[in-house]
Amino acid sequence: MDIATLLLAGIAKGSLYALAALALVLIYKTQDVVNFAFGEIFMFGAFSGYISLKILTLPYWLSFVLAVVTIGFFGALIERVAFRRVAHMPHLTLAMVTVGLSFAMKGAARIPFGSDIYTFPPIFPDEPIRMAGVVVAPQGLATIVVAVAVTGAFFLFFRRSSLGKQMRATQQNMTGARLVGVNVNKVFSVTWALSAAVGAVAGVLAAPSVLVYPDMGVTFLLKGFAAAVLGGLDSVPGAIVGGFLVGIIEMLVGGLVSTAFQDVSAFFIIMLVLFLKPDGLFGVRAMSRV
Amino acid sequence: MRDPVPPAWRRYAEPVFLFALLFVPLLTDKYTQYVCNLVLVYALVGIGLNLLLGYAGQFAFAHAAFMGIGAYSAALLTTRLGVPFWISLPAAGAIAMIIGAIAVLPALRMKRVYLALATIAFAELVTWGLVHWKAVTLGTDGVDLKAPYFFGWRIGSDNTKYFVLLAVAAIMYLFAKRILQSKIGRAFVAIRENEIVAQCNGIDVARTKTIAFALSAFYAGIGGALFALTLGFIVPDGFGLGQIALHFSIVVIGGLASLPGSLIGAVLVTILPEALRGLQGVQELVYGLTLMLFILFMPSGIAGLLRKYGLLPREILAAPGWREQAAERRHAGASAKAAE
Amino acid sequence: MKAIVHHIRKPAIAMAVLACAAGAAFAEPGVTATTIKIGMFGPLTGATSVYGYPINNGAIAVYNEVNAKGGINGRKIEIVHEDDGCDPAKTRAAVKKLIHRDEVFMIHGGNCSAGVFAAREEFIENKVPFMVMAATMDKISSPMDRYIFTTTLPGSRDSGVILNFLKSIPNVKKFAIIKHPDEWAEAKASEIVKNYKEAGLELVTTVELERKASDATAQVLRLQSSGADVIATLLYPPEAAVFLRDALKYGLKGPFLGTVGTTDIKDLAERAGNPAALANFYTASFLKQGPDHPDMKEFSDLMRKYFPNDRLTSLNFYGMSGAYTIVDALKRVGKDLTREKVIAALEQTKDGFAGPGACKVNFTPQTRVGCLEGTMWKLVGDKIVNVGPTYRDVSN
Repeated sequence: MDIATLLLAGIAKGSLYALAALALVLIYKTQDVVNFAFGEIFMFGAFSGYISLKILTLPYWLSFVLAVVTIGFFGALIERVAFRRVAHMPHLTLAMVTVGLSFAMKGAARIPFGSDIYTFPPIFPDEPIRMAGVVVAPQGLATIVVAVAVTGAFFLFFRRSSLGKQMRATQQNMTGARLVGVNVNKVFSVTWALSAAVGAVAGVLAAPSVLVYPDMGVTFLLKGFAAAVLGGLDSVPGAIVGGFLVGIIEMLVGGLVSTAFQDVSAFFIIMLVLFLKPDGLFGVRAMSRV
Repeated sequence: MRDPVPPAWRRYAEPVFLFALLFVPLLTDKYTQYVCNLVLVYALVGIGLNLLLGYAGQFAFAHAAFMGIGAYSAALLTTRLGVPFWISLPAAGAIAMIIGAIAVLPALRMKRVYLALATIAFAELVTWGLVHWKAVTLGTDGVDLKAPYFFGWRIGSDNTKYFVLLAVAAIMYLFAKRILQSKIGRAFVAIRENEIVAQCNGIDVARTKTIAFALSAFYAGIGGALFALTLGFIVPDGFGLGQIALHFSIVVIGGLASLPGSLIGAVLVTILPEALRGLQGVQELVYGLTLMLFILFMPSGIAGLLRKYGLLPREILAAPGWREQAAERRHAGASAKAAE
Repeated sequence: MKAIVHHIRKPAIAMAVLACAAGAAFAEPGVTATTIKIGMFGPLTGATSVYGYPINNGAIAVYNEVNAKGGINGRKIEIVHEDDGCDPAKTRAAVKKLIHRDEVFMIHGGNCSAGVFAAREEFIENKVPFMVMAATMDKISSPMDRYIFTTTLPGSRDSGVILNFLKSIPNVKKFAIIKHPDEWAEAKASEIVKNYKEAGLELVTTVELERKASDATAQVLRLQSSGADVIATLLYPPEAAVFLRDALKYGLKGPFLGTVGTTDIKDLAERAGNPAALANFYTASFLKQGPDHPDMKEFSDLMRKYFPNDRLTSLNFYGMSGAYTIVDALKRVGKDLTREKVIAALEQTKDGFAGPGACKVNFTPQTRVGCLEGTMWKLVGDKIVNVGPTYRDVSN
């Protein structure tokens, strides 16, 4: 079997997981909360791309930008309306609000799009690229490039920019950060907007090659979790490494072991990592011990 | 301050309510009876989740998976192995409980967010297992549970099922109440509020968490077995994320940390979709929004509202008469000192 | 005198009331002098609702037309439609509501197999004649029960169509199967596995593709290295589209043989996005022709007449054969309509009109599966071609 093709396909898939992981890491790094509604943000991104492309028949680049910007705003809006109120409440409450949000978003998507599973029109010419005996779709290659670029940008952002440092400060200690003059509310808004935007990017990139339907976010949430957990929930480079690894493992399992185990390998990864090394490959937070 | 003495009617409310429930089959046609049966199943499941989430504060997504384990255990034992139902019912609960206790072991030292993720992964693995372990579970073919025998009685009709469901639900409700009024119940609340403080107060956090998980898994397992009984046929599909969404709605809308809340939530969440059969398209959206609204503005749910207006008693997590016992002990201590 | 009258008045009234009640109890539920109530259910909302209204509306169109032409022996058909959300618990509730609340005469419905099976004993216990709409799980109709009828090809049968076609392709020895891990695909796969040896074929490998999977790279690569000449594609339309698209990408040529799940081959082509993906794809079908074929004009016209705003798809035709069969049986019973008489009439359906179905409907007192034939379709350009039960070259 063509291992090289398998690996490349795994990396292409993995880039999507990497973006998902990145979005999760963003919120977690700042607010110490896991956004269970991420899958639905991703789904909204895919659908807004679908609406722009198929229904409004806009060119792809415009659909892309439109989706990212709209969903980014939507993320900030959600934060302002729903989360600002509960930012100080126990994490349990915050998590439950994101769960409720995910049901609401799924339900909202079902109203216009609930009755079928949609396929995106292909973006790039269908002819796959063949190089050195390896076959890869142009869409896949584009996804890898974008994922690496976005992750790299965020890595620098957190390390170098002042806003990035403010976000890290807020996560470590919200009150402390406030005391030193960090505008915590602004940090939250920006975080959510960015996280949603990343989700939308993933959604629009994924849409041409996956099936678009209201429940599509669930799988990506779980794979994104697997990638984030594997890489370390608070590590940006961990997100991309984790993403690639999950994608590759899935492909290898499906191609070499058995197609039956392909989809569930991500969950095995989550369970294994959480039991053996909960901080993942690059994470630095300690486990809580009481 | 003395315990407020509940008005006379409230003292008898519970037993009277229970007695009144015996007459429900007289008022219902087969369709409504079936819906009532589902309500009882979900009330039980809701109590289980409330114990874990509302009282012990553990955010876990595995409840639907345990319901599935219970449902499949009961159905497989009864249908494939011919075990009488009065054995397979508690067996289903026990199997779910044991798996719950084992599954939580590695999660004991995890932070909250990891626990949530691990339980999601666990839930997906369970669904995958139910689908792919065809030799045992018959995969997506599903398993029947038709008219089992319960101590010699054939449980065929919805009415007969109702009485079995009512009996089990009542017993388990009272059991839950007992547990909550004991030391374990107070330990649950302690670890919910602050694990570190609880540990410092001598509560074995790991042991309490294990008990919380095992107990809620037991309730979910029994609920699942009764679900299989009510429905007569189960498939792996029914125990995934859609099911857990239902469970969350039940406890949040009904009222976290409230046993009557679980019943209220079950009633609303089961009956409303049937009553609003015309509006099913927007159901999920309404669920999600309602869930968010309740968490944001009414975290104690409907039970909390009722409590405010005195229709439901405040929950005191202690056995009745504890103040008197404590006073006695103080008295005995003081007189012992005086005697020295 | 007065005393006696006084004494018998109360019991007399009581007896009169009882007599009326008893009389009412003898009247058949769902039948009045002017109407016959037929219950219907399906996934009208939720993730599977694409198999809800499109299928059920086809049957409703047939019933509407019958009403427009004067009804059946002076009675018009009234449809009571309930949603089952493709969920077994809801389906059971829907059927209970139809039987006990709406008190329908008989029921024609059900597209989600698990749900129909969960509700199956409701029909049997309450002695309500039931015609399956489009659900295909074998367990529903076998073992046979007196009250359960179906004119839809059961799951295992459509493998027969596929295998028959496979056998007839020249120069084919080795074949492979790609399937979902669910019961729907498993039923078809196991039928194929049972019978392929006698056809002189060799099954080289079976690969699985999860429902809702968005990538089939691993599966395609495995099939490529297996050396199979033909691939039985036991997949639902969205996943079949993904698979065919990936097969095209990696150069897996086929031929591919699909199940009745992919009968709506034009829809599949749209999903796959690239017509080249279906260049070597054949699908089983239990319909005579595609919706745009002149032979189907009668049925497309019905849909256009009663549901002018709906998009016309093959799905619309799935439920029609059942509707025609029911109408035929009801007519034969005559004015004195009871459930038992309808069952007797259905049992005597011989070479019944199946509407757009590629078969003739036959029931006997011992059988309840009305249609056993199917055919294979192929998309050539933008036309659906009925290739037939055996292979022939149809590429123009």
